[in-house]
Amino acid sequence: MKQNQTRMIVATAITAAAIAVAVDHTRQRLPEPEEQLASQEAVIIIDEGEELPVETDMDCGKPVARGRRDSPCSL
Amino acid sequence: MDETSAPRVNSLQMQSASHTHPVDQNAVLTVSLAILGISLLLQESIAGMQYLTFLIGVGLGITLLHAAFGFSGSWRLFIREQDGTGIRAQLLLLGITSLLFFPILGQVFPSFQAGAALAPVGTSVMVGAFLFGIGMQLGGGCGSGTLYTMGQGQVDMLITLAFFIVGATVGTAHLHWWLSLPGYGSFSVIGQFGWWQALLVQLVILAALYGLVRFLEFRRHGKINPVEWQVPRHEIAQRLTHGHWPLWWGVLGLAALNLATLMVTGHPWSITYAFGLWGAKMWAAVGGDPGSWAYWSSGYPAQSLNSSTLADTTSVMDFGIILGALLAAALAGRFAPAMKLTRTRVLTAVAGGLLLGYGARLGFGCNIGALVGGITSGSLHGWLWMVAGFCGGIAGVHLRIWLKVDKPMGMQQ
Repeated sequence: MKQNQTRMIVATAITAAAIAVAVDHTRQRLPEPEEQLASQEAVIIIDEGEELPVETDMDCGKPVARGRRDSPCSL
Repeated sequence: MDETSAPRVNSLQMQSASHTHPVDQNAVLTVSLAILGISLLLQESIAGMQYLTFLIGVGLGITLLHAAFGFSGSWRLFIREQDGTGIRAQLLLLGITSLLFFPILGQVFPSFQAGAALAPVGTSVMVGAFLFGIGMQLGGGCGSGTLYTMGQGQVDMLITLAFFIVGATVGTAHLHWWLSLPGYGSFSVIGQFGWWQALLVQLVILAALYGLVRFLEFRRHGKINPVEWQVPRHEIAQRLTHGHWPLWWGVLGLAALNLATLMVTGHPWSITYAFGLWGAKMWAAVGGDPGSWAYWSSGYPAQSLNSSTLADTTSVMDFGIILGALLAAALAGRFAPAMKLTRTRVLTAVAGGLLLGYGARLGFGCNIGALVGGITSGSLHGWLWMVAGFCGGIAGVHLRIWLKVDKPMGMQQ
């Protein structure tokens, strides 16, 4: 595969991905500014000896404080 | 060249004269404009510091590519030839990042709070990391490696990434079953022992592993390849811009940017959550209902599935890594190299991608989110991931020989 062909394939893939993200972006609800800001402030609460339930909705250990689960950490 | 040959290439590059390829000016201009445009778009339409998250991703992509910092190739070199240069660089990365993370996660600075990458220690992580280790060797890259080599324009890694996404999506459908198998819940050494005691023990263990790798390397070769850090003074500026960076620069760059990630996003650097998210969104776009799966039905996954991809920090960082690597490759004159795509390579890319994706979901992340993020967060699952992932790597290396991708052990590649 020549360099021009690989360039064309990579450029096509990136363009297709960009279009998909743009379509998704216009279709989905954006987080409210306060919501988004809060998601940047993950909280750590490490209680000694406490074991977490085996769930997928853990948030960096246990920051379900503030009633939120807003980080992809460990997911 | 793929990511899998990174450490060897890096050491050879250090011996050679610096930059020799012409800069790909068109690609540099296009990607720079894209990075600028996306940063402005994120600043305008996504509140918070998402544009900073994106720029950190760009920095990570540049660092990964210029330092040729990879996991799968260095693991294979060590398994095949006991060349431990790359693995020692990874241990240095773990040690330095732990030094930066443990005080923060141990709440030494009460005004700054961040979350650790904690996950359950159990069958799911063990099996997931083992599968991921095999996938690394077949697919030709790890979590970070797949992104930056794809950004470099390697067509085979596009195939790996596509099936990485498929595997991760299927993994999200099955994860709850895997979590019903025996496990112990999560375990934080920081929470259990205190941050400085835990840090001390961790550094001792990392130092012991470093010594073991050096010992095995010396026993095999009679000498130790240093983890390079020096370049001639007159080449520093040129190397910074066009590469090739010594591995030490890569270690320091990745540790600093991981710290920046923790400070900006509130969690350590992670990569593969986004792949499952992209797959679930695509599945929904063609009429599927991933929202009915347990994984996507609550918490952050449900929130991210129903929000813009640009609101997800991991996705935005991944986009940044790809574009950062593309920019670095263009600056180095190494974007989109010509390559021969054989049927075997396509098959290994497909199989490797599926294993990488499925393994990453079961393992609560990849070599970055689970191994680096987990260990440097003081989570026991990170250590289990490292052991199981390396065992998978050994199996993967033998699979490559069986598939005639590599020569038998003892024969030079």
